[in-house]
Amino acid sequence: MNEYLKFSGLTARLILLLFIFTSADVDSGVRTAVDYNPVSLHKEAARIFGDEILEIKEFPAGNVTEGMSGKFFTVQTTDKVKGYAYIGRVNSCRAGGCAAPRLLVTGEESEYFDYFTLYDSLKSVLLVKVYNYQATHGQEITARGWLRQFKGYNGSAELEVGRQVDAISGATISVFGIVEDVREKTKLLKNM
Amino acid sequence: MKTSLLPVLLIISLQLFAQSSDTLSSLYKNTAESIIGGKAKLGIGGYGEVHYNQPLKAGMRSNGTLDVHRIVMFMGYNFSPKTQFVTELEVEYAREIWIEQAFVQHKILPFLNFRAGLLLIPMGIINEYHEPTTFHGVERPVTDNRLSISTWREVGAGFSGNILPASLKYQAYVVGGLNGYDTKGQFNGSSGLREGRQKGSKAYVNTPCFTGKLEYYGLRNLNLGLSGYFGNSQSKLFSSIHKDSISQNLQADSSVVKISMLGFDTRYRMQAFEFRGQVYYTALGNTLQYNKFTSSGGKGNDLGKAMAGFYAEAAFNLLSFAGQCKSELLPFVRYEYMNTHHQVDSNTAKNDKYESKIITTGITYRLNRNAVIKSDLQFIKTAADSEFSKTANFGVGVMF
Repeated sequence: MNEYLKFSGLTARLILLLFIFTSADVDSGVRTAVDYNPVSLHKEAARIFGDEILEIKEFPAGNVTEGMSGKFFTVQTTDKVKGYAYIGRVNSCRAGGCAAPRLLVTGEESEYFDYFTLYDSLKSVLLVKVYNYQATHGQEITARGWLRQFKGYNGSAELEVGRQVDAISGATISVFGIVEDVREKTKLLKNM
Repeated sequence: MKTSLLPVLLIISLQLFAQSSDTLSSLYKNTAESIIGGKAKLGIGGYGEVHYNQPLKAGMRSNGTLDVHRIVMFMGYNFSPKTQFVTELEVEYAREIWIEQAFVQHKILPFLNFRAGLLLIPMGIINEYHEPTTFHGVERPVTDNRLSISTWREVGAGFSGNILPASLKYQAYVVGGLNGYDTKGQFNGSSGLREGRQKGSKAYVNTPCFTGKLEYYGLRNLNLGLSGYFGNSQSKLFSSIHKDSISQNLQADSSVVKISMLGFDTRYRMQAFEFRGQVYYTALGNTLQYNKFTSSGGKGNDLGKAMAGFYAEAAFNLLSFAGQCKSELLPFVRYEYMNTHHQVDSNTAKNDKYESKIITTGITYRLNRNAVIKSDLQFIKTAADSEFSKTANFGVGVMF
C-alpha cells in the first residue's frame, strides 16, 4: 500500500551509492578553478588560424590581471603572433531565478560560467565560446548563434544589450554578465 | 526504513562538515561582517508586486481591489562552490506567509546537480520564472494559474543539469503529490487541481509523483521546453487501513485521481520583439469513481477527464529605436484559451462556464531591468457568456 515508503527506501540507497561515489571523486568531479587549457580552445584556434598554430601562451599582461578571474594569451606560431585569446569566468544567476542582479561576488560562487574569446591580430573578436556552464539558469547564452553577435567587436563601437546584442528572456543576468565582460576585456586587451 | 536512511544522512552530514571546515576563518563573523569583508557567502534578494484590479461593467458600479499581492525575500547561502542553499520566503496578500522554495543543491559532476527540499514543479514558464519583471500583464496568465497551478511547489528530490554540447537542460524530480481527498474531495471542474497543492506544509504522502522538464536552447534567442508531471493524487483514506481489507482499499482507491500533465513552452526574443507561448494538456484517470465518491448533497462532483489550454503572447519594445534610452515600453497582447472540461466522464455534463477565452492587452513599462510599471485590460468570456467581462489592472513590480 505505502508505495512512497518502498520507493523512498530505494531512492535512499541510490543516493547513498551516489554520495559514496562522489566522495571518492571529490576533486575530479566539478572543477571549481578556471580551466585555462580547454580542449575546445585548441580546436577552435586550429579551425580559425590553421594547423600551423603551435602555442597558446600566457600573455604578460602585468598588473591588469590582478584580482581578475581570467587571463590573456597569445595565439602564435613559433615566431609570429596570429591572434589573442582571453579565458575567464563570469559569475552568473542565483539558483532561485535569473533576473536578479549578481548577488555574490567572491571566490565561492556556485553560479558561474567559463568562456573564451579568440581575437585576430588587430584585437577584434573572431569567436566567443562558453565551454563550462555552472549556473542554474540562463544557459541560452551558450547558443552558438547568439554568441556570433560578438564577432567583429573591437572595443570602439557600442556594445549594449537590447541594441547591438539581443536580450534573452529568462537569461538576463548571464546576458548582461557576458556582454559586460567581453566589453571590458576587449578594452583591456586593446590597451595592452 | 529508518535503518536505510541513517547512513545516507550520515554521509550527507559528513560531506557538509567536510566542506564547512575550509571556511573556518569566517566562522566567527556575523553576516554583515562577512558581506563587508568581501567574503559574502550569503546572498539576499527579493521581488514584490502591488496590484490594483478594477472590474468594468457598463452601467454598473463595481469595487476595485488594492492588494500587496506578494512580497518575497530571497536568501541563498554558498557553503562551497559545490553546495548551496536557496530559499524564498513569501508574504501573500500582505498577511499569508509561505515558503516558495527551500532546497539544497549539490554539484556532483559538471552536468549533474542533486537537489532536495521544497522545489518548484518545472511545469511551463511562469512556475519557474514568476518574478513580476519577467512577464507581461499585471496578473500571471490565467492558464498558468489554473492548469499549471502556479506557484506549484512540493517537497522532493532529484537531479538537474546542463548538457552543453547538446544545448539541453534537464530537470527530474520525485515529489510529493497533490491532496485529492482529505475530509472531502479537493479537485473539481471549476478550479481543477489547484486546491490540491500542499506547498510543503505538513504535506502527507502515500505514492510518489514524478516531474521533469527538458529544455533546448541551441538556436539563437529561442528556448523550447517540454515538461511533464505524472502520478496519483494523495488520499488521507490510505492512512490506518489494513493492507488486506478489500473494502477499505476499494474505498480509498475511489478517492484517487491519476494525473498525467504535459506542457510545451517556447520563448523567443529578437531585437525589439518578444514572443512566448505555452500549451498544456492534463489527462485525469479514475474521474468517474472520484466524482461519484466526492459527490455532495446527492450531486456528483464535476472534475473533467481532460483539461487543456494554451496561450500566445507578443510584445514589442517601442523605445528600442529611441537612442540611448535604457528603459523599455512594451505594448503586448496575449490570447488564452482554457477548458477544464475538455473531456468529461459519462456521468458528468460539460459545463460551458469552464471553457474560457481570455484576451489581455496592455503596456509594460520597464523603468530598468528590475523595476516595472504595468497596466492592462483583461477580457474574459466563457462559452456560457454572450459577451466579454472586462477588468482594468494596474501594478508595480520589482526584483533585486
